[in-house]
Amino acid sequence: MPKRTHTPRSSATGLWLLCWLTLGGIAVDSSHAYRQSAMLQATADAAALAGAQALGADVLMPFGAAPVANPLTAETAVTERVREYVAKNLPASAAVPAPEVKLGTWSADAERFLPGALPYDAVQVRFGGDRASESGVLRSVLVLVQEMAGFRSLHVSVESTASLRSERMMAFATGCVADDGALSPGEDQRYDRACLHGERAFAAGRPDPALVRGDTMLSLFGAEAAEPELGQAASF
Amino acid sequence: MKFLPTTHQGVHLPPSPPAAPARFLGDTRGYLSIEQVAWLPLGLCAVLAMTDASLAYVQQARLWELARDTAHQVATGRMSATESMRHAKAALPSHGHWHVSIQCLGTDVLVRISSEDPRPGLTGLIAALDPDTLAAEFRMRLTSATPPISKAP
Repeated sequence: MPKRTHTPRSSATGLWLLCWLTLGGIAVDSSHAYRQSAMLQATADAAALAGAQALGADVLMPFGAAPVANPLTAETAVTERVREYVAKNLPASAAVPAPEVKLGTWSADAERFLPGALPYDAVQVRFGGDRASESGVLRSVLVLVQEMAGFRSLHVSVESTASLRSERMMAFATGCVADDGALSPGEDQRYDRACLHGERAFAAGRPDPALVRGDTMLSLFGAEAAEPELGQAASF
Repeated sequence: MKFLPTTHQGVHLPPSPPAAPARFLGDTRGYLSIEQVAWLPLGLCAVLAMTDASLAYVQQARLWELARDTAHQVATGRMSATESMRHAKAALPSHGHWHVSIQCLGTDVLVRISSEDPRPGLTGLIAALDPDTLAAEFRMRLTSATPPISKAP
């Protein structure tokens, strides 16, 4: 019986399997990174909104001027509030580094967050990543090579900014889908690097959000107007 | 003396081919296809598991985004709990049985979305390994919990 020799063709099956497993690994890792980014983005949104409320809780009242957040105490209060909501939302098993919290001003003209600028009226919460290498073709190629070589998993970076503007809470998040048209729940509108996430009333200052909020919050807190769903579960 | 078949004219004939099993084992043609077929079940299982994991992860990400949106609507007063429940219902996948709850806990609104499907995904393997795969729980602070500052924009 002739002996089977090791030819280049004999390793084709192994190479084929290796390619499939590599592509599958990248697919699984990408979807895992997508899940991680969704969890982190939601957590950052909640933390930023809660932090902005802490910012509004402690204000200075200069004579004859609009109230502004106290810069001496605001940072501690906001950071504590942000950490509280990060701990409430992220699973204990999630190995996520502590978020980066920045206080500053939301520039309505430039439509961007100005870190450190006084008076404080906005809070930015950021998870992971370094700003210099967030996007670009080179970044994508590097990630692909790193994935194939197994050096590290995909790097997820999310950012959310909440701003107190005239009794309205606005949540801005980066990395959302651009949409220049009218916003509807779940959609996002991009402003440079920030985008408003799906809250129409707070995006463009549409008709009287205070009235909507007052109406809803009365039903949330008022004993006589409590809605049947609150505190209960509904399934369908 | 070894007997060699000859023709009637005395010319030696080539040796006859070996028997069928020996001929099969000795022939290397097509071995690549046989190897691939042998590995195919393992490869298909791996692809199935990876597809299942990817689908489960993407679905959980969508659940998180939906829980975030729902909590955000209630927390910022954009929608009432009834409206946000309707919004969540419309946004959930039509297949499967979903359980949604919206609770007001002190200063927070808590949204829980979970699947009651015993075998979600293609095989249910990922959900069996990680029960939290098809569930999302999100908590957001109500914006009216602290009085808003009356600062001019």
